[in-house]
Amino acid sequence: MPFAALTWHLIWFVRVPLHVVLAIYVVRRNLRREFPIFVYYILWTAAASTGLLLMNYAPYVSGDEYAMGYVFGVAVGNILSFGVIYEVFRYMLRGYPALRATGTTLFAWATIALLVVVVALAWYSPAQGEGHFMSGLFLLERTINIVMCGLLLFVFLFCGYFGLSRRSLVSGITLGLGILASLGLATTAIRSQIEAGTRNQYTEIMELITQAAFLASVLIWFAYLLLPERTPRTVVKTLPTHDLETWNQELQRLLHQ
Amino acid sequence: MTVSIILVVVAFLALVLLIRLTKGRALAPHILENPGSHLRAVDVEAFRNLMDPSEEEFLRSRLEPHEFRKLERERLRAAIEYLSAAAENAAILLRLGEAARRGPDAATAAAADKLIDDAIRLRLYAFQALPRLYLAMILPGMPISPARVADSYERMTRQVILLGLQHPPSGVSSAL
Repeated sequence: MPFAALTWHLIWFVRVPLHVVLAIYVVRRNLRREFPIFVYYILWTAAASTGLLLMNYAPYVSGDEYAMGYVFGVAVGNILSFGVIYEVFRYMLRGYPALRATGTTLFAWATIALLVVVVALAWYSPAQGEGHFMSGLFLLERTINIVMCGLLLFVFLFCGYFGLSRRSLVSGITLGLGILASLGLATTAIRSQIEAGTRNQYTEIMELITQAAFLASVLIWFAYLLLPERTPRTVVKTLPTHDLETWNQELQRLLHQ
Repeated sequence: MTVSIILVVVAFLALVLLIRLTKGRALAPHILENPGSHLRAVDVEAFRNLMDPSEEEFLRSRLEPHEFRKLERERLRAAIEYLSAAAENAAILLRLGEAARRGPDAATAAAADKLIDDAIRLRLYAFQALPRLYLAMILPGMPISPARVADSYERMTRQVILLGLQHPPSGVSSAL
């Protein structure tokens, strides 16, 4: 077995049990109250990963059945990951009622703009690999990853512009998804163009990157869940408390305007 | 294949940007430690004057078209300066409000909530008004109405004063 293939298989064997442990942990920690879609996403991806790992080594599962399982797992996982991005965005806007309507509208417009871009891109640069089914599937995944990357960047830039404070866990959830989406985009962009009918060195390297991205995401989610939440510094506490003279002058200036 | 290479580069840039944004903060801590010294002075009356349509009409009627366009660009440049300063001040006050909101006093927290609300509205107006001002610089005479920004800025200043009377951060109101 080539080095790349051996390495990604090893990562796969490590990542799947970790994913299952993460799923158990998010359920036990009762994270469903705050981030229900994220919990369902973790549960689904853990179940799908375990199922695919077992199917890969089960002698009675054919290649077509495995492919169907893979497509189903990826499809549901992607739908849930869009749900997670929206859930995180809504969570960030929770303490800012003035931004809710504008934020939601801009999120919808950003999604529409990204959809237009990816449809145009799919038309301009269609799947070209020898393995037609897998090339088509990777083209679809590329499309989904572009939208996901775009939406994650939108969420961060929007919240950054308005200076919204966010919990560490929210940053962790989005960072994990960001790693999956961006590295997924890099690999699917290549695989949609050069995917061969049979496995070769390139496909093994792409698998290695994909599995490494999954492992990194799982480890990031674990780290952000296990580490204590950073308490924001209370700046006002450190400021002097006797400046009433200035404040009163300002008040008078305003009242006389 | 060219598209794929571009997408791979975009993917890595997006990853780097996401990591930076995750680790980054909206404002440097030293700004929040002494906000008063980082706030920029904004003359709301001067801004209102710059945005006054009757003032614009007056100038248009008195000046040659090329002189008017030149002056109008200068006026818009000044308005952009004011607006950018107001938006930056709003970002600092927003964080100040965030800090005050976490305090134990309910009245301070309520004033801080109001300040946050006003600061966000101001940044929202600035977000909408700035592109229009830049566009008006290219196309002088284009109708623009960022008067809401001035109202919002005054409302925010009052809120800072209210918050300051309850829990005064040094030099913030005088800087506004």
